[in-house]
Amino acid sequence: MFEKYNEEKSQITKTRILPGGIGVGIGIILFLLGYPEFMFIFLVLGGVVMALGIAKMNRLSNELKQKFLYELLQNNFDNVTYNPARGITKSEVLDSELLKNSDRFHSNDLIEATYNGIDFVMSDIHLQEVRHRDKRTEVVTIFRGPFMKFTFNKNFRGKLQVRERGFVTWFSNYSKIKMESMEFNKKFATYSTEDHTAFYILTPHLMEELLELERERRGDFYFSFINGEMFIALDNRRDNFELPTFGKVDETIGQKFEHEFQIIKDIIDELKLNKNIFK
Amino acid sequence: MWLYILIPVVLIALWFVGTMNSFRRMEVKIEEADSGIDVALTKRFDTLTKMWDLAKKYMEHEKSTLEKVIAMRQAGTPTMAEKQEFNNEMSKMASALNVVVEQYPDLKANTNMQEVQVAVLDVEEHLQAARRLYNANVSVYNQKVVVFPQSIVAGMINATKKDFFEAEESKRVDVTFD
Repeated sequence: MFEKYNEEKSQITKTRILPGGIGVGIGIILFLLGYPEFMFIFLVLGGVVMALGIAKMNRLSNELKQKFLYELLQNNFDNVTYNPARGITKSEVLDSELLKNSDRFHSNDLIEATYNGIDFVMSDIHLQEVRHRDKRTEVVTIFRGPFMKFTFNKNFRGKLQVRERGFVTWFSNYSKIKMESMEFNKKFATYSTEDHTAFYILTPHLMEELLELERERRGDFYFSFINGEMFIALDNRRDNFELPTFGKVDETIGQKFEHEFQIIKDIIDELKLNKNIFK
Repeated sequence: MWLYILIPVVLIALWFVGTMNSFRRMEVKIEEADSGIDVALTKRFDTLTKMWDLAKKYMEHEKSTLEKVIAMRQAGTPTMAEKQEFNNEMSKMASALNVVVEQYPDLKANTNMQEVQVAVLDVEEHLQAARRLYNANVSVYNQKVVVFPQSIVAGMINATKKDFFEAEESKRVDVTFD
């Protein structure tokens, strides 16, 4: 599987991406030498060849992921559906109330499965903001990383948010809550629409596990609890299921992927989401 | 010249009013948390008596426990210490019930009993949440009462330290190995 992928990848690089890149390079050199009329021909042709190559490479990578990652997921979870090209929708992300609306939204690698009887959804998301400053326009990443949704094991009223960074908007009906753990308050800000709900959901055990999760993983964690569901967003600035652009791909990629979705197992096992005794 | 006197006086007055209001707001929060404890205690009493009804025929020898809890439940306006006592008695009642349920397989297999047991656990979780919320508010309030300069305002408005709702005796005792 990997040999064929590496062969085809190298073929695409040789026949599409490299010639396209050379074309673009020649176009830039011609522009610098003062031949703008020829520049366009090279730029357009080179750009089109390169874009076609990149599109083919993405297709190839998705095909490999569809086979390899799907198999890997099936070995670890039940009722697996996986689509590398699709992702969680923007409205689903906004429903979590964890992230604000962004100018650009992209999501991929949608995984829907069950682990220990708990349904979950996981997807990589990328949120960007377009900023205008002194006639300059820049695109800034405001969030990039996995977004997860789980069925929570307790029924509760109201909403709760636990955030490592940022704050809830002033005009919402959330209020800031101080938990009894100083370590927890130092690491996370807690907001809830009902004080009692915050203490009901955030048991000392759950607080300790959220701290442990934060210690084990790089990036900023965001948690929200709304309508019987728990949402988790981890801003680690990575596309977690992306195959490397350069170099060969082999079986070791499986270990990397397994590490990425180990977080799902940790959350369900450590937070005891499968012990839904109160529902 | 008079401005040099007026400005500090106005600032002190504003600080005094702000601090006094923050004490009042905290008192309201503590009262709300206190009523949360009352609600949770009532629910615990209701679910435990339901459980008792289901196990009644096996619980004859423990009747005095139930009578004690019912008598405490009927007390007028209990203090925090009395609420703790009431909760401790309910814990004893819950332990006695659990022992009986474990002893009789037919009782343990009863669907109604299983549902009530789940309800009891959930109510206990709510009670723990209410207790922790109340204690967190009391902790902040008590700190303000004793820390200078808020302690001056606390003294003037007769704000005094409030009692915590302590964890049940059984949950505070260290594990012992015989």
